[in-house]
Amino acid sequence: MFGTEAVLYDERSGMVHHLNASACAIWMLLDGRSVSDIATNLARASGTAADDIRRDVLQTIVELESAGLLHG
Amino acid sequence: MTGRFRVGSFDAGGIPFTVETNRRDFGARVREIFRDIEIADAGLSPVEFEVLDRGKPPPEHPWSLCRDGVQREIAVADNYVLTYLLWEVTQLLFERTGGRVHLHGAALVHDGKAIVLAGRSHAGKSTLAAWLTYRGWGFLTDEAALVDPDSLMVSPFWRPINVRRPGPLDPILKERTLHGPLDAEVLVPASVLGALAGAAPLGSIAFPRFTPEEEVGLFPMGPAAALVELTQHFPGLIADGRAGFRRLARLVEAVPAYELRLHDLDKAERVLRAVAGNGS
Repeated sequence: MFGTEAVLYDERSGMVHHLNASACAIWMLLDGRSVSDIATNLARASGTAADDIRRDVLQTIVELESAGLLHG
Repeated sequence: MTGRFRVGSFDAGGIPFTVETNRRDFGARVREIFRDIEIADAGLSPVEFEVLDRGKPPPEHPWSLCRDGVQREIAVADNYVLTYLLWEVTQLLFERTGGRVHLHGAALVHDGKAIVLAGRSHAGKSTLAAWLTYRGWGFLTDEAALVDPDSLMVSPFWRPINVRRPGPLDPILKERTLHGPLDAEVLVPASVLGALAGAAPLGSIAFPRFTPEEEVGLFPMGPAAALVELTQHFPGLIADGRAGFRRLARLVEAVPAYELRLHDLDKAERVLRAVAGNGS
């Protein structure tokens, strides 16, 4: 972790992934919470509408999934 | 061709090695180009390189190279054999770094602090390293920067600089007489250009990019972006895995990193002087 950003190293593939601040915030909340919970959490922290953030959360999860960074 | 003979003993970043060959002219060239890493005594168990002309006529490539009796390459071209030997020596260093991080980059010293120039081929690292050495910076290495992630000390490996020609260094190379033909790439002992430096603490990391359409400048990079960039110039990432990745992370946490946009060596040197030795 570097402040609000993160760099992930996938040992299986040797790939390195740079998560910007918003992606990193979402990544940190991926501990079994639902998308709605994550969106609500972030909306509360940022003062943004939860529905707007929900789209970003979904998109980020899709991208993390396609990068092979999500297990289970 | 003659019988085999030992050319000399040398040091690759703390690893002693010897070179044997059966060609006097090649042996002389090795001693010329490796002059900065030649040592008096390789000790009891140096790594042994044998570089032999097999006597094969054209179009066959005549040279073979063995390391400690194991064949590494069987057919090396006459105009490439010295470069290939240097590559093998550098690979040897990369295999035996201990806990140090080895980066594909140059390293130089200014005001007691080292700067590592990491980047892809043709980014201008070696040309810049040669230029900085010529302009009074201390030369630590080209192509093989070794950094201890705990102490942040950058170790010297005074291998010759691989300078592409034609290029901005041509007038300098002409004024410093070099043995051998001036090919598209020449190996230049750093001592021909300037001073060799001893180990120095890492002060900063720069990623040179040749940008002819943009102004020369040094642009700070955040540690996350710098780490991503650095992983691309760390040959040992796959082999060292997570441990290697963490060692890299310690470097970007400890020192500032910059993107160096360059197309003018004078200007590049000026901007680098402003940060080197300052660590900020």
